[in-house]
Amino acid sequence: MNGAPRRRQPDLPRAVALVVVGAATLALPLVLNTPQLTIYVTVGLFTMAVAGLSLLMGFAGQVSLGQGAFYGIGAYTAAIMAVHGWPPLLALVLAPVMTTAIAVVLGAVLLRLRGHALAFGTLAVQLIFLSVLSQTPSLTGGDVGLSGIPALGIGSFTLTSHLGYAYFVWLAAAAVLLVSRNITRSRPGRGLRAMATAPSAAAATGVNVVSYRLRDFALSAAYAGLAGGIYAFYLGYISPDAFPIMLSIEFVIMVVVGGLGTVSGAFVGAAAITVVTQVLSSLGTGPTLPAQLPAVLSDGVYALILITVLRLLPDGIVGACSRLARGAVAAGARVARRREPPPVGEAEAAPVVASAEPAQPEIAGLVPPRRGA
Amino acid sequence: MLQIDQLMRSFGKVRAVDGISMSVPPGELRALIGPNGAGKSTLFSLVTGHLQPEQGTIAFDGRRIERMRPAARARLGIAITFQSVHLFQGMTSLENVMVGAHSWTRHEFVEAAFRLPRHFREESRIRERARAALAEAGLERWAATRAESLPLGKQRALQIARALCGNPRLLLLDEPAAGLRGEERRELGALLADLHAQGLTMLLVEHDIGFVCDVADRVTVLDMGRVIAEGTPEQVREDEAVVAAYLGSVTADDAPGSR
Repeated sequence: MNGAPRRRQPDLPRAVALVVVGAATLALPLVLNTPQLTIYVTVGLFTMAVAGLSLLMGFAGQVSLGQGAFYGIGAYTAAIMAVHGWPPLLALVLAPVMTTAIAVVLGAVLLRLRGHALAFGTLAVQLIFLSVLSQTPSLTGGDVGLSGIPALGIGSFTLTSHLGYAYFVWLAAAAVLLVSRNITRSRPGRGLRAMATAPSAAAATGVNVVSYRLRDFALSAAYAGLAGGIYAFYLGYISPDAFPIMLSIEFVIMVVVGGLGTVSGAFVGAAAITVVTQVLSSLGTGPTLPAQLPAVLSDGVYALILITVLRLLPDGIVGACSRLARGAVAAGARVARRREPPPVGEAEAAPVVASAEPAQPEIAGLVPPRRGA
Repeated sequence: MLQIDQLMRSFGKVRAVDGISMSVPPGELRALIGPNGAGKSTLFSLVTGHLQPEQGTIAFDGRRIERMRPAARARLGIAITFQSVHLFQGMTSLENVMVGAHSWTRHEFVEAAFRLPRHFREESRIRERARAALAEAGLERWAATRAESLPLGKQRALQIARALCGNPRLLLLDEPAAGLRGEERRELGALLADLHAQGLTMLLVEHDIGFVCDVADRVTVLDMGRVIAEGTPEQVREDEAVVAAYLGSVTADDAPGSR
């Protein structure tokens, strides 16, 4: 548009990290066995659901305990349509569409609530979802669930192998993270981040706060719906057991452990928590081990790990890493500055991906001291 | 440009704004002063849209706006700076100012998510305008600094830069000089004078008579929710009603906000 060249500060460490993680996650499925590939696919699916929740929690400052329900709605939408003979690919595309539509209707009502009230409201959505499932056996298979979901595919090509799913999910998760990144670095993303800390000022600049909140909620549901749709085809069988309340709580934990308000935190949190739970449950089950051990490990040790992470890394794993990186860069810059003065206005806006601060309520302490009256 | 007619708003039994009428012509820097509780802040919020009047009208460029939401008023060309600084934390100064461009840009989630042409078209214009606004407020050097780590004077200037990025035709300033000292205050005065010279219409709510007299074309004085005087700074200073209501105990320019 304008001919002026745009100076971008080379963001080398981040780019290198991205390439390394991308290459490693692409190579990984080749060396994994089938149970491990299942975990790999799960991490990918959870990354998508968590990325949505992260947009909601980290940018709009709203907690939802209903993300598991949207994951389930996506899964059931895809499964029901595919079982009734719709083309699987179309069923998969309609999963996030249906989830978004439901989220818009629910959000229009629920988003009048704030904070804990919203969290409980969304929790209620999941409870209602689960009871609707068990009350509509003719459509959803009720408590037994739906089986016989056809394979995902187009024309004569069908996706059946675990390896194939691993790469399909990798692509989908990468696409979701890219969309998140694109949004955070744009006009609507800035609007979202702005209204998280100062909604009245955001409104005064022209941000339509109510509509943005709803769009953010719908988008976060869409991510979960897409992940749920893929999940239904991957397993070929779904039942209400796959979408317990605990799943929604786990999504919240993944967001916080990964790093609130960061895009990459969704992947880091999903991977860390999924792997830890898997390791703990496999540690606990063995022929010679006491029967109580799985419960102790999966609840007690899991809780301990969580508390430790949250105490030591309050801004999550990605937050802690980028804080370290910023510290190193600042130290480097101090050394450089001693040699020559930096040109004015050189620095480009700090990259958002891993450094946007978590949304906080407006902080009273920032009100400047007043003179006089 | 701004026409306020018989505006009323009460809180419980207190009539905070009790039938105020006033009019600000294009290009004027109008100050709104009055003792504590005079209704300045209420009137300000009625104009910004953060409060709704019970009666009366507000017109901007001949359009009735008193029922519009703040975001809609922003899109008409009204920008605001707040008394208690409302900046977007965790975002750089440049990003804070870029948010100000919301009023004249349109691209939405889908366009941003898939990087459609309008996103690129608007983003480069937003960035360009935001850099210019930062420069106008003397903040280029702080473009990459997080807003919350700026000193108070710079935060207030940043609020003005954010407002300017919205290309406003009317700028509403709520006590921009509160808490500023010496140099910061002179810089703010110079910035306002600069904007005034460019022809921007401004409504300035201020406690500090000295500051007001330096920058304003005309002054409207409120007391008990009513207009008690209006005129040039010199006229208002000599008005007996004003002296009685407000200036009585103020001896010099250096007693802002006290009574």
